[in-house]
Amino acid sequence: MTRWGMAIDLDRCTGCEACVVACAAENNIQTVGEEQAREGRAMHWLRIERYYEGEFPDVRTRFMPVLCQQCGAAPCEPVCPVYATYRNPEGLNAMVYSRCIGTRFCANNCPYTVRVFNWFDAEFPAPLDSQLNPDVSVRPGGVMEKCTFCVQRIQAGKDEAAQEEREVADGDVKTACQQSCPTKAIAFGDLDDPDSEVSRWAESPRAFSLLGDLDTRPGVVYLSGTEWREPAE
Amino acid sequence: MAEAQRRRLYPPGARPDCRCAGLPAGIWILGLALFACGPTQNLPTPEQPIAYDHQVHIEAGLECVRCHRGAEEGVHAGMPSVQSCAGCHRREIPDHPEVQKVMLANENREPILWAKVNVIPDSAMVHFNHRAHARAGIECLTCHGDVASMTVAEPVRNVADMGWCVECHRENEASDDCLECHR
Repeated sequence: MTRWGMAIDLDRCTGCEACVVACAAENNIQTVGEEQAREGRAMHWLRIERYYEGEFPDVRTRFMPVLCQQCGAAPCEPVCPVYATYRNPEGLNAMVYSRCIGTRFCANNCPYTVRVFNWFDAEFPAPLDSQLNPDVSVRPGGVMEKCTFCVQRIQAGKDEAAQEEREVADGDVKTACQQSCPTKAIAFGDLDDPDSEVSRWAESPRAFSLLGDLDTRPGVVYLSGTEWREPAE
Repeated sequence: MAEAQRRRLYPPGARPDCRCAGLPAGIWILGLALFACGPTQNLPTPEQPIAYDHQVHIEAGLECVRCHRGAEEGVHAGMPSVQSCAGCHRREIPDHPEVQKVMLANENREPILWAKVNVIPDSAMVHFNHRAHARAGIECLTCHGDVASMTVAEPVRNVADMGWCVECHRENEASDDCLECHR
């Protein structure tokens, strides 16, 4: 059985945010405008966290792309009263928009704060509507959303493989963020396949889980050569 | 309900149930029995811009995929282009009044705005994949009914009935995970 997973090499990440843009374009994520963003309602499924270390002039910036960790024991799932979010058989933390009634309990319970809420109906005034991805639904207002690991690409990859009467091979499915990364800092694939790129990365001595102490068993693995410290409060 | 209000609530061609409220009980029971046997759910047949006859074309030897090319090998079944209609009709009965509408559209390079017959509303957020169903050996008529013997294409099953989808998926051991269709 496939277990989709991602590995992100922080030593390669330059914080360019190409992944953030690619994600928004691929997944029809609405832009909320300055005013709403100021209210904390920006809707990125993937954000780059920026940490400054040291004292001037000896300073360093570190970047960390944070997206839905597709937890194996997801805190968001048990709090949903309508089962709009659940663990799917392929290791995805699924989000069913048509079930969501917008209680926002899930976002409240997510330790990574990667879930975003549609406070308003998405607006894509012409000609922006022409660039919408037809394989992804435009979510209506009142619905929670988050990174899906580009599930439409996963389904397309499986469909393509089935059409060619073969199994899905490693590298068949590329997420939008992975595809756009200029330093190739992101690997995506089947964690249950020991030969896949993502499995090899995940076995690196540099690998760690974000907020690993919480035992959420994330499907996203980070790699860093230097000790990753949480920023001091 | 006032006629104007009804017109606002229901699309043209739709037959709201309240119109039948005055029918005798026998007809109601018969109707219920029919409803239980076949899931014909008062589905509206949309009006088409050109009186296209499916039956005539099938009798002439065409197959569904001759015009709906994507149905077997594409994610979307698709509608034929005006050029492909005109391609045949340049030779076949070009003088028929309905065919002339096609030829005119072709000359003016205008698309024919066919009305969708089997509709899954956008609000369901479903992404249906035709070729996956063709691979599994599901025939066109399973969902679309016997269009080959229809003069005007009309919906036979409610393709937006999720319970029916899931039932078939489970019977055929296809995935019944939500993300299979909803995404």
